[in-house]
Amino acid sequence: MIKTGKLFTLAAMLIFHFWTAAGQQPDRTIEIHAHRYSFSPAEITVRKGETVQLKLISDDVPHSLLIKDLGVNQPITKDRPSVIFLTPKQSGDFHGQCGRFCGSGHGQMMFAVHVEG
Amino acid sequence: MRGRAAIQVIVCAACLALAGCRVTKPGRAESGLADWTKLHITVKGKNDRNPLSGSPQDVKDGKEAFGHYCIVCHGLDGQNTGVPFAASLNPPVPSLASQQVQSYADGQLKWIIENGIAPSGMPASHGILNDDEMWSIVVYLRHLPPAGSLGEPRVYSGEETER
Repeated sequence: MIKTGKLFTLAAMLIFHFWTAAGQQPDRTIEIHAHRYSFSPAEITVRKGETVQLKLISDDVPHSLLIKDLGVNQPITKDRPSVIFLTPKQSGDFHGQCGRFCGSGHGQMMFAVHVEG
Repeated sequence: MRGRAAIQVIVCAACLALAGCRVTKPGRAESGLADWTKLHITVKGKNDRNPLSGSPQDVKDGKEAFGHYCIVCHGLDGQNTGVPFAASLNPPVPSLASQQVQSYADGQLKWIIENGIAPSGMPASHGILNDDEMWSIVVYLRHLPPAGSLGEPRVYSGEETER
């Protein structure tokens, strides 16, 4: 009886895992590097409803990608890339910036997402 | 032409007379005139509205942004706690909780953060902080904690030199 319960739990976990993974399947991946004091690339263009995977990499100190209107605030560390998924529901231009103070040019670290629609 | 030359000579002489002087505490008249001029004439942005609502999260964000480097001169509490040179600068570093500072409109405070004030030690933060951070600092300035309640900046506690 206990074994059946464990098997059921495991199966449920597997189904949930594959279901969420399938839901996050990106249409494409964009690699973005953050370094004092810019993002590279500093702007991206995506289609409305398209799921893009953003692979965020810091080349020096900790940063973060903050895009308030898209609900993004992802820390970026030097040691390993951060991965987030973006599926914009609205078209337009969305302003982003570095959300973690990183030095004298921190305020110039801007980013933009253009959502075509 | 001669008049312009005379003015240039007078200005140069005045600059030479004032340059390199030892730092002294400004008199009441000097401070009063400077404060009035800043509040009513030179500091812009009076009509700029803070886009932030002033929520507890905005206060928290402002406190964090303030902590990036404002604390070196203004202390953690914005009231110079632990800042050894605050009173001996000319002009002295004002308490940000003072009537003089709190009299500024939100937009003026943001303008000061962004552009600095000359002649004083207040630097411009344009390019160092982004707009959101500057506005959040304005929110924090309106919700400063009691003086001394946050202790002093670590840089003045001796911990930095022990490392």
